[in-house]
Amino acid sequence: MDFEVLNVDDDKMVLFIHEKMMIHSGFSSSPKSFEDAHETITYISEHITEEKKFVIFLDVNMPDLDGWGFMEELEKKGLDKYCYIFVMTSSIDPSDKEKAVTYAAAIGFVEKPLSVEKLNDLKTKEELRPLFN
Amino acid sequence: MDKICEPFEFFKIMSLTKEFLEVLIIEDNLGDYALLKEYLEERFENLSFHHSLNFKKGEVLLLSELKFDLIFLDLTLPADSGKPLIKKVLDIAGQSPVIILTGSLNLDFCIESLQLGVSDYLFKDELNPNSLFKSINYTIEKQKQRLHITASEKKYSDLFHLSPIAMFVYNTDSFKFLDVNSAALELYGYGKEEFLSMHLQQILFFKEKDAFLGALKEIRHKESYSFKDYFIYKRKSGEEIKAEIIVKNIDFQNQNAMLVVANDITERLNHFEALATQNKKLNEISWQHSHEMRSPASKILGIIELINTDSCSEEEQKFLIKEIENSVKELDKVIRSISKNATQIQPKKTN
Repeated sequence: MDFEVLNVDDDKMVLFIHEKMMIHSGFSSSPKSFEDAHETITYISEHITEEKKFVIFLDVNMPDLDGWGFMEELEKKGLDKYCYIFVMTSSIDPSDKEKAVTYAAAIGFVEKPLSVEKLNDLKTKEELRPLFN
Repeated sequence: MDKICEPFEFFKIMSLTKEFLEVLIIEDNLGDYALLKEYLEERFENLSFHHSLNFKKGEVLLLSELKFDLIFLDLTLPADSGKPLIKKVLDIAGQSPVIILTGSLNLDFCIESLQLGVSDYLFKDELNPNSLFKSINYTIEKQKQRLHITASEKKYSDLFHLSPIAMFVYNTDSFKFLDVNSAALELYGYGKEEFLSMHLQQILFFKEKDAFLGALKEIRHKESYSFKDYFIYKRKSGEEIKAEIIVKNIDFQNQNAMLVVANDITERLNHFEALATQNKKLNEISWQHSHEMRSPASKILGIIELINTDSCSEEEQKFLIKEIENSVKELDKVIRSISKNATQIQPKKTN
């Protein structure tokens, strides 16, 4: 199955690091970066196909529409079934982790910073395994 | 068989006969005075006699600095007699016992005068050294006991009234206040007269009333009880006071009464509350800062991770190092604001 990696974070620097790391680790050769959650939703709605999954690295704390609001919007629009979402946060608040599992599209919780090692671990995650074989 | 005097009794009598006694005799009949003096001197060795022929002269002596151990009062004096005379003398006799001397036998009057506070009532015709000695002995002993009881009553009254711990007494049936000490008056903010015209319900808050009265009802038959929890009371000004109380069932002037000892813990609770608030604020600050610090820290770690992959060009690396610098500056800013915020959180001073 085809998949596309989207990084969503309001910090350009974080997006840059994520992009470079994904390319370097071979997680994705062409990850896309979004600084704004609304834009991301528009992009997804314009690019859905039944044969493709969006693997999204989603920052929780963003101005305007935050990570939680983003996931709610996806559910409302029925787009969540095309997405595997990793909730990214630099917080060490355990309640964030608990909240993340309540969203169907959220398949993981990743604490920042992202590393090559973490990306390699994610490749073996049950939902993602078919995408990397 | 005659009873032999116990050694103790013997010494007591001996010491009394040797005791120095200041005696006032108010008697207008010189013959009666002489006889009384003679009888007294027969049994007592160290008497100092003061004699006055009428009440006026007696009054002068009674109001002087002399302290009399005994006052003999003839009931028929030139200007004064009977009950009014007894009252006049008792009014100024202070702690000195008064023994009445009379020539007429009137038992009803005898009892009445004893009720007025006279120590003994002697008939002149029956007077002899022995009866006189016995009467004086009883009178002095009785007076000692009375003074002892008065002193101990005062001691207990002082323990209540001068105690720094707030205490009051109320009638368990009518809830009316019966007594209150100055610490309680200060605590509740009332004057004594005002407080004693009130009842228990008036110092309780409406919301607490049922709980409090219910709790008191339950322990009515216990001798004493201390409540684990505190109750909220109302000061005259309407302010709240939180106090822990210990109650004790007592008999107060033949009424079922409850002694309540109240320990004001308002300040202590306020202090605890201030500490809890401060603690909460500190918690919030530490929580907030850990979040704020985590963000630049995770960015630095991410950049270093990226540099370590050797996948960046020289130019990109320079850019990344610049970014590390920015993030460290951000981190530094957060750390400075932590110490600033922490010093602002001081516990509120309670009054």
